[in-house]
Amino acid sequence: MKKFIIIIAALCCTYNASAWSRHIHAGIAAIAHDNLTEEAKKNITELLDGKSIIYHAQFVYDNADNEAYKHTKVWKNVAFTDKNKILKAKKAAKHENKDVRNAQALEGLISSLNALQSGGLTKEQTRDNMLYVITILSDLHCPTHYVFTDLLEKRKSFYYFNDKKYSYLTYWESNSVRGTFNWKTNEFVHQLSRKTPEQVADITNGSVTSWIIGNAPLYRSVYDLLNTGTRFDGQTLRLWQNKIYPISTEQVAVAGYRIAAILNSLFDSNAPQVKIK
Amino acid sequence: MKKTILSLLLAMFATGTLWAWGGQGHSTVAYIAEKHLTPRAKANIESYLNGRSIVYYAAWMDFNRTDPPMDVTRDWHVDYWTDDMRTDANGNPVPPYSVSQIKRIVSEMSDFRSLSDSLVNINIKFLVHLVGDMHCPVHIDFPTSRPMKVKEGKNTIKVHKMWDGRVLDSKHNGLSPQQMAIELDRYSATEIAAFQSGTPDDWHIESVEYSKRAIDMIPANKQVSYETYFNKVIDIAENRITLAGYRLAAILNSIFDK
Repeated sequence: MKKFIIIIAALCCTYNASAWSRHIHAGIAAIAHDNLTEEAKKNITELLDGKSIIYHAQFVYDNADNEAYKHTKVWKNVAFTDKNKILKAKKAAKHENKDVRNAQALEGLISSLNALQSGGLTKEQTRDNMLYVITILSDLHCPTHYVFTDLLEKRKSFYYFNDKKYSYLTYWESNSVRGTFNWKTNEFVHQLSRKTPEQVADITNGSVTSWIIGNAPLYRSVYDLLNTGTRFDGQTLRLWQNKIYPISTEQVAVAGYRIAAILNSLFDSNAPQVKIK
Repeated sequence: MKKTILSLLLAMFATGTLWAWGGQGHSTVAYIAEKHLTPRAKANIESYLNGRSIVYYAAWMDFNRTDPPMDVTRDWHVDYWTDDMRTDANGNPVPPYSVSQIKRIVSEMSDFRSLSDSLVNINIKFLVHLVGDMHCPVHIDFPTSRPMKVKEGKNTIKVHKMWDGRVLDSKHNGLSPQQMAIELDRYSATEIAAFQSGTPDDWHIESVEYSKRAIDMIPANKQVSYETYFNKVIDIAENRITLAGYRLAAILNSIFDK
């Protein structure tokens, strides 16, 4: 059993990607889908020509090479100051660090939500903006999509496993869940879409912007979980992963509930409204 | 090169090659058990797990096995046959580990409301895992089978590792635990009641028999493949997982349906 876990850990660590990986985006969308009202689900299904939001869970990434969607390329990260305040877009645009300059996800999210709330869009525009919201809100519940201007060096953190070097950010994005659970999409729902109404109310309380700001302290603390250059063996890696998966699985759940709340707000006139700011 | 490695690993993840008896098997046991919990037992259990499912904690004991506070549980994962009775440092007989722990926990939990929340929480995690372990053929630790190695192709692996990984995977690597539970949980209420009858000691005796059978079926030349071994013992693996699920449900219902 022990050796088996070591093998899993080794293989998990070598898997590479650049965002919440596809299975996590799909899992988040599935949790959101599970929490849509019937009215919202009906309207969204119609908008997606019979498909669900799970099918389009990472729309922005799926269209990364499409010229028509090139404006979304900087809608991946959000930049924060050392005081956990959002770095204004104008300041971010002038920053010397590329990750900070490209951290325009909040602007993308707000512009998409504004467009959806104001109405007057074509079906295609409505669809695209809704799918932008889903991808961006998913990403903004992944700690590595928060670029803290005082922790830029920590974004380069790495560790060794059996003398091979691996990126900490990559671990988070790809294996913070899969390093522990072999969940398919339906299992994300079964395991994580089980909050009480009171817990859901707490998670979805406040505005979209307040959600993003509220995540910052926890996501900052994630950088404390690894001393760069740490050398793991199978056992120490497993124990280290035990600190991470409770956070990652909870953030996946929170993202799903919040996406459901905003979609219900937009596509069900009887659902509680969610403020953007 | 990077793309090749990535593709290879993606394929492995997609097919579940990395997950076998550990994650796959234990989660499947817990999924089957969960489906057979009474509503009251399920609600009581989840109130001690902060709303989480027992499946979430199915492999928790393995994940935390090397954590120093868990040192005391290291031996709990395996049993041995009483013909091969173990003794402690003073020469006193030591009962089979996981079975005796299961019995101890069941007894301790008989009045679970009188225990601290944290003790109930960890006892649930122990039961969910140990009932699975006691049904895994290679968790009956025979002196002869413990060091035994087999060859699959050019690779030499321990029998224990083969059962932890390759056996279940050889046929079911495309199924998630939840899907596998759906496939395996197909017995009638009468059959399930029969599986759930008896005691952990009875189930242990049964496990020993299955373990002997699983070891005896290893080809004389120790060369294993899907054709020569895995496909022949997959029924045993499926049987043990399914029965573990039903029996875990019976144990948990007996504790928490009140």
